[in-house]
Amino acid sequence: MAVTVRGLRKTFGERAVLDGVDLTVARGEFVALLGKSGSGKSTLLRVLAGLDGAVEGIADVAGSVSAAFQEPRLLPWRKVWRNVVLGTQCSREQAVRALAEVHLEDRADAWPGTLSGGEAQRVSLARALIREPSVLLLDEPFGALDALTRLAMGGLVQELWRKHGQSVLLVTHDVGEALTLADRVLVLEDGRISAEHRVDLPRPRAERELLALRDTLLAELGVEQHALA
Amino acid sequence: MASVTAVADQVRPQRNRPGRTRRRARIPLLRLASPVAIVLIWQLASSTGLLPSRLLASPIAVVRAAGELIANGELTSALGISVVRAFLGFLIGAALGGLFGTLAGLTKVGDIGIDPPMQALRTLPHLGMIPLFITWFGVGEAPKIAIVAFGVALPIYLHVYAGIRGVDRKLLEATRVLGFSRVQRLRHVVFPASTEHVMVGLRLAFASAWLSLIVGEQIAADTGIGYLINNARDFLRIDVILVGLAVYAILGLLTDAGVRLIERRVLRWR
Repeated sequence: MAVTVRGLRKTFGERAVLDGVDLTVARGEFVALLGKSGSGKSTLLRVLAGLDGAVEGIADVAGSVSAAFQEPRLLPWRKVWRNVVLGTQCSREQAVRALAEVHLEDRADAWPGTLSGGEAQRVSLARALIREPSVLLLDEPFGALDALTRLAMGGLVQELWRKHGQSVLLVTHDVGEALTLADRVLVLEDGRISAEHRVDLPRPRAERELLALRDTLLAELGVEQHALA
Repeated sequence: MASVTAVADQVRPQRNRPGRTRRRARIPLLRLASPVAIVLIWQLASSTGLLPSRLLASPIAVVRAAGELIANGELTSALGISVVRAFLGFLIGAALGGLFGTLAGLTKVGDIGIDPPMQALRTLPHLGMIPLFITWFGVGEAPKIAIVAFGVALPIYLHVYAGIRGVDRKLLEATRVLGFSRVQRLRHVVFPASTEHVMVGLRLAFASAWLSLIVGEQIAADTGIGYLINNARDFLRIDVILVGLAVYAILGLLTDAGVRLIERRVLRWR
């Protein structure tokens, strides 16, 4: 198991934000975690990322963790490529290669402040992936993007997941997104996993006719095709 | 097509003429008009005797006095001494303010131990401490350097502290998850994030340094620009007093421009 969570409890004062969470993520599995705001999903991710230590129960991650957040959280005073490699031993060349995977190799020398929201989020994805994590935590990474960029980003995440094969735990409040991307969808409610659905459908997941029409429409709207693959 | 080239031909020579740039340059030039007018009126008032020379020397007299002081070497030696005082005081003050600000900003112990007394000191007008400084350090170089250092240390401290405390927690968390070491977090997150504040602190510190120096040099000085001014007062040389004041003003302008230059370089990511 890449992620093992058993009876996890996290309290803030009297309130238990996580109240006995049980959850596993297999090696290479893509799991989506759905939940309303306040359901504790971000807290769970923070615990797995090692940002929240004071918990009861087991929260075990095998291997290395990396994360992308709702806001890109790039360092505005470091060039894009430096943002990708800082904190690692990687070279500029490797940074450009990682940026090429998110189709941003030509922005390597840009300042983060000059990127669009979607571009910045892709840099943040490249930054997470260059660390070759065994578990990738995604905390609503498309939450702040517009609908079209969101679709493209979802496609990109799926493409990168297939290529790198790491385990992914995606926190989202978008049901469609979860169903399109994940092997398994969990619902977190009142600090506990309340439902679980395995999605045994081949990817890409959409009815053929709809897909063709959607692709056409998206192409007309300027969303790149490779992002939908 | 023909009409397009015709238009282009009409436009191109015009663009090469300095008309556009001249118009842009005319606005700063226009802003010079009122100061120049004031100097002219001042000169006129002095020449006609409307403005008695025992109150204010004429601009021409001030320039003449400056030439005289430069020729006999008085101005350069006084300037050298004043600049060294300001520089040493600034160095000591900035080092102490920077050190305390960093300690208080980064560590809990520093925050508890250093910040309250520093915040209390900030309410104290430091120029009021000159009598104390004279008691402690006598009337030589030490009290002058000390008063500058004191005037510099506080703004640097306050802005370094505020800069470090104001770092975006989300960035710090992100870099923690991404595996930055503590040193890397300081170097790539905390310090760059606080430069904006530090730059403001630097500019205030320079302004405070010159102010402290001016006041410090008025007391019991036997060298420096302050002495030049004090001495001139005893001989009723209003023109020399004005030269001294102009030198202070120019020094202030130069350091401010210097900080702006650094600022543009350090904050070029914006």
